[in-house]
Amino acid sequence: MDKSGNVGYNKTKTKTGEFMDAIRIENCTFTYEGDTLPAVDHVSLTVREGEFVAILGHNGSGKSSLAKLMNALETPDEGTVTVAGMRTDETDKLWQIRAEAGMVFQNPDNQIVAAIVEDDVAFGPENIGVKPAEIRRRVDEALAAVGMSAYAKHAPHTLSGGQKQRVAIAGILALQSRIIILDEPTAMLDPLGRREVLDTIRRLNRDDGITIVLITHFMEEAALADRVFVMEDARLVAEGTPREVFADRDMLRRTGLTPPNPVRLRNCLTDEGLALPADAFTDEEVIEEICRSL
Amino acid sequence: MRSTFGQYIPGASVLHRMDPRVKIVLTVLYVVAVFLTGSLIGYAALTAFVLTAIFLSRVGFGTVMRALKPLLFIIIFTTVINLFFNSTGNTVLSWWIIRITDAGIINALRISYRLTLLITGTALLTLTTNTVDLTDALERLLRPMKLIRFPVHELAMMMTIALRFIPTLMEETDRIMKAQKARGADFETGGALKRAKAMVPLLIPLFVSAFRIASDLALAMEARCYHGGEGRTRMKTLRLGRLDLWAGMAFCVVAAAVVCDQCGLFAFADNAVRGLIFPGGAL
Ligand SMILES: Nc1ncnc2c1ncn2[C@@H]1O[C@H](COP(=O)(O)OP(=O)(O)OP(=O)(O)O)[C@@H](O)[C@H]1O
Ligand SMILES: [Mg+2]
Repeated sequence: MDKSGNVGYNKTKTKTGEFMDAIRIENCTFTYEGDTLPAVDHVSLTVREGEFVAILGHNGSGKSSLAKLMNALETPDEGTVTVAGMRTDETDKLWQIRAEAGMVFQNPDNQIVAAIVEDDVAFGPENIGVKPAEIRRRVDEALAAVGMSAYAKHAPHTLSGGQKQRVAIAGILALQSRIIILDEPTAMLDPLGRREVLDTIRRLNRDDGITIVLITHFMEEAALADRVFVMEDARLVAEGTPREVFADRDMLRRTGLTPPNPVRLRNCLTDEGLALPADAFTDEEVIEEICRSL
Repeated sequence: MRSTFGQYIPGASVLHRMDPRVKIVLTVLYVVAVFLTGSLIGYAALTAFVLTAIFLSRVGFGTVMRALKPLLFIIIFTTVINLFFNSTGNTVLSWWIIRITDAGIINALRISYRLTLLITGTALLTLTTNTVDLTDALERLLRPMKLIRFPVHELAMMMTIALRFIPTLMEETDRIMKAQKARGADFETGGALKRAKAMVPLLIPLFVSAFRIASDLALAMEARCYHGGEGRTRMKTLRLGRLDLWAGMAFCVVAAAVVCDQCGLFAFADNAVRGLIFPGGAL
């Protein structure tokens, strides 16, 4: 990571063509101390640079544990995790890895450290010893990138949930992370807050080429991703484009996931004997297919 | 709850713009001076200093005086004690077991005025400096204490987090209270003991919340590369400005007056005024 030069997230989309793996998890198993069953069981997956992936799975399926492996908050008992070419079990790379792969948590309140928004955004770069003037610049840019510049001097508790999550994202951008891992960032937000957060992460992914790993319970959010992974009982049970994953009805039923509304409608209609292609999954596609088949 | 002692009042006055470190140091020196001084010239100098500061702070004279209110009882109490239970000096008034002496009166006046100066001066610090800057400045001022293994950074971090989470915990308390009221809990009626007992079921979930917040926060801090004060920088740097220089010089004048006073250089003035108050008594 370059600490001196340009702000990472302002770089134009990097090295198209030569895609590096942002996160590579190889045959990882991880058990919490004191637990008997592993929280992550022989999981292998790869997230490419600039990709937007979603991780689905019901409660306790190991999604958060997997996320913690991705930025060295935990290290695997077996297998390896490589983040931007750095192995998470190499302790001397710890801060570089965490700066490279930032993490946003579910509860907007419990991840903001400072009593003033801009101080909180500065927290990350302060921890890795960035020079004051450079921190100032990064903080201003990061707040602008999430549309929160007007709130720089506000107290966090006066913000809405969506705004707090955007501040949390800014805190990661200020670390110049190229990867953002979000663990159910919208679970505690109202529809408006969810919209704000989703728009922000999609924009960062599209315009700045930031790799996004979104853990979510909302299928509509997963449908926005380039690829979707499904966890069940600590194992990875499916992966593919949202189109492929939502077409796999058996797997969805087994893992207890409810597909997005248009897919449910399509499934109902197919069950009633209407012949629809199995991979239509957006509102428009399903409407079009229905119209065509009538 | 609202009129907390010296709660920060946002502003852009000269005092607000001063380096918080200088404000803290000057306040500490000011407190020392208040305790050291024992004579009229000293008090006059300190009064002029604090009045000028109040004027420059633009928070309003009334606001500063309001800081005295919660401590009024203490002031009155010490004054009364000094007034009635002083056995030295010439008796001015004697009734039953009470004997008021001129030395007693002087002492009582001195103590109450000293407390007033003390409270207004320190209130001025907190009225013009927000808690975040205060914590920051304290951390920087105490930095040399690291040499004797005093956990300066850790303490400052704890204070920062405490300040950040006070509103969050208040909201949480409110939420729990509402949830329990909905289940029929009663926090308002009954004697003190009954109400205190009603609080117990409130405290337990609050503690559970606090621990959950703490563990979430620790994880979030670690994820953002927090690893103690080692190699940490700060975005906001404090730099001494011209304002701080002026404030320092003003205080030097006051300090000089107090020191001269201590050396007895102004004794004549003191005696003259005492002579005016008690024409008969030779103190
Ligand atoms: N800190 C911990 N210590 C011990 N066990 C844990 C810890 N965190 C999670 N577990 C266990 O690991 C398993 C996977 O939990 P994890 O939090 O990864 O699931 P999740 O998919 O994120 O669930 P959710 O949707 O509820 O967030 C669970 O059985 C859980 O009980
Ligand atoms: Mg989870």
